[in-house]
Amino acid sequence: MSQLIKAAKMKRFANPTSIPSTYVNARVLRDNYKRQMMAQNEVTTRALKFIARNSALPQRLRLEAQIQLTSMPNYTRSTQIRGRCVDSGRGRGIISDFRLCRYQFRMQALQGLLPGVKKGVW
Amino acid sequence: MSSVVKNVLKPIPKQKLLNLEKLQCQIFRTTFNPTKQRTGAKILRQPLKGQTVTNYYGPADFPSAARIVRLWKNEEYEVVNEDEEYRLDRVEDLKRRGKGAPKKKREASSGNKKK
Repeated sequence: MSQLIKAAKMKRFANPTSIPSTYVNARVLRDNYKRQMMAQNEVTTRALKFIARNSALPQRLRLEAQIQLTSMPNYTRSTQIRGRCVDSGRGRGIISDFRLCRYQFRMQALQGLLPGVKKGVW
Repeated sequence: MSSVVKNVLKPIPKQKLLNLEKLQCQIFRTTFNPTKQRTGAKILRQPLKGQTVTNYYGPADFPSAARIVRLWKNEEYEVVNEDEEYRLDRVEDLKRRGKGAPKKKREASSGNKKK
């Protein structure tokens, strides 16, 4: 059982990250990496942002915090993250509630794999 | 009658209003900020979303079908990986029709290495 629950690690990026168990693709890996890095650096980013936006603090400190914030690598930013299809890795036409692209969503819905999804007939 | 109206219309002193606000803040546990200074508190108030963001692709340790087949290999029963079965069938079919992958040329590659 322990063999079963062993997450694969990889050395593709500068920081160790785990590989997703879903469909894997270079772009999916990159997005996954950004997601993990964002989560790791979230508290730091939040603190720096708070210092920078707090007008009660001295101006110099605020400026320094802002500079540190901008000097952080791009992969730590939440804006870099993009929803990708979990089953095909597609980056466009994602139905975010299902984490699927429109084609996968259609196929799976027609097969009845998505509970509660019905084809509209009127 | 007219004196009552005058009393009502009289502006409330600022200090009184401030005291009221202070009391309000105490009761509802909000920060008393009479100068309306921007403290960036709203940044700290927002919930952290890192956990949900990383969980997008599901748990990393979720076992694949191939891994389950490998681990539960038994003489008594057989676990079937349908996708893999389909792939093998297709490869077999292609080979039968002479459309399979070309065989590796051993001699040629070794010859290249010698050069």
